[in-house]
Amino acid sequence: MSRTSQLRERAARLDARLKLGGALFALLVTLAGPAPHTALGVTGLALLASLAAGERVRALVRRLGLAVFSGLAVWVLHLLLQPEAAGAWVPGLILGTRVAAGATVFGLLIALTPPWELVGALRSWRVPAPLADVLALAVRYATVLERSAQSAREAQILRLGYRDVRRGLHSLGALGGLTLVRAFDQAHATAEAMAARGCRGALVPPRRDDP
Amino acid sequence: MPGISGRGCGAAPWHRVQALLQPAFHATRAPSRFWLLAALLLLPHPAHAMHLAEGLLPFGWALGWTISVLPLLALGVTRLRQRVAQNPLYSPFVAMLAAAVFVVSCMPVPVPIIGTCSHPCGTGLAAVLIGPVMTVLVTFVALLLQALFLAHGGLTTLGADIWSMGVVGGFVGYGVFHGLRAVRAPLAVAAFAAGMLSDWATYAMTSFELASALHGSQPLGSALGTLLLSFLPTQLPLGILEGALTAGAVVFISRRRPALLHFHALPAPATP
Repeated sequence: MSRTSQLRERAARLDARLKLGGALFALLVTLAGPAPHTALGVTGLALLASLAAGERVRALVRRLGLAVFSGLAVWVLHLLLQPEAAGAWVPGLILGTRVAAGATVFGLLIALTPPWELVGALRSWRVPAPLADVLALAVRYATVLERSAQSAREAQILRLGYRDVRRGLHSLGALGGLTLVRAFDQAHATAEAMAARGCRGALVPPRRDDP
Repeated sequence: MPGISGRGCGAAPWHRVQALLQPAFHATRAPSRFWLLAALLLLPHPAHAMHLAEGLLPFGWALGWTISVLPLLALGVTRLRQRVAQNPLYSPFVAMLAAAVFVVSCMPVPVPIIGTCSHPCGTGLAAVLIGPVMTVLVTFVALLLQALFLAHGGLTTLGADIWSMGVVGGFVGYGVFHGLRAVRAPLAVAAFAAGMLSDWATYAMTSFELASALHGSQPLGSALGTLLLSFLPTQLPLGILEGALTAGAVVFISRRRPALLHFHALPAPATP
């Protein structure tokens, strides 16, 4: 096993609460610390950690693209608002580095932590139980619904459903409606499965003294 | 930047964009800056619209938006608890709707005027189905899913994103739909208006959030005006497309499963 794989595996085995807490801390430091130095520092550290964990360079560059874009947009916005003033690039630089830090830290977090572990971390941080249940179910079924919508869209494409703008809009509306109908069908099936297992609403295991 | 991004799916007809924007920017007497801004706005790169990216808001603003949305989230959780108390199996319905909103908001919608693709919000549609308060909760879950699965949006900007999509978009969509239905507007027309206005309201709110955080020493009004103007070329057609999508989806549901349109008004779904 290569060193990168070992590092990645070790990082993936870390407690999700620790990783989420660390990412939140890094994000808050980025926003609260002196700009742009803090943001640049956090971005550098997160980039190094991402490379050590075996993240692809192309993915990292793509993440940084959004930061460059945001910085340029703010620079142009300030140029438009105050054409005569010098130093319009400063707010652009500050914002660009902050977005870069956010994108790299958050990207590293979700690359090393599966979504259900993050939901588990939220649950252990006393997020209200009904909300945690909804989150856990939504995480579980989002990919299922996405695949179902994708197959329906492929079928529509085969039937020339996107031949022109008018037909495309009609197909898109039907696809949205179909996704919602399937979501409700899936909800019924899940509710039945939960009832069959004796679940009474909460997904957390019942207490020992529960009748 | 939110709302100005799109996945490139074709060449942008530049002359049409220039014709659309040039008079508005004439007052700035900076045609080169117009081209720079237009190029930035139409730059095709993969991102989901509507989201403030992680790091876009300064610490104070991110904290402010997050704290201010907590009471609404708490109200949503209280409502959810009440519904779960009536029927313990209500939570799967809300969860699936959140997952469906996530999926709908990932559907690429071609924006004809600028020749790129963007993505609908889906919150107007959710508000029509389950009411505005639960839409806030559904938006929270859908935004968290997008952050966790696609790295779009972020944790520090979650509060601001819930405000624009869930609160403003949801309440506007719900109000417009039921207002128009009350004056006996056809279902498709009410749904179209709800989707379109909910989308535009979301963008207006996102622009306000950005302008309030980033205007610096400039007047808030000028920053807001510039941002609204900058988003116009993409958001005007996208709002119309979102309206069409909402109308299509609502008409489809009314034909296939009409009971779902009254889901928010039902005391609880039938126990299986």
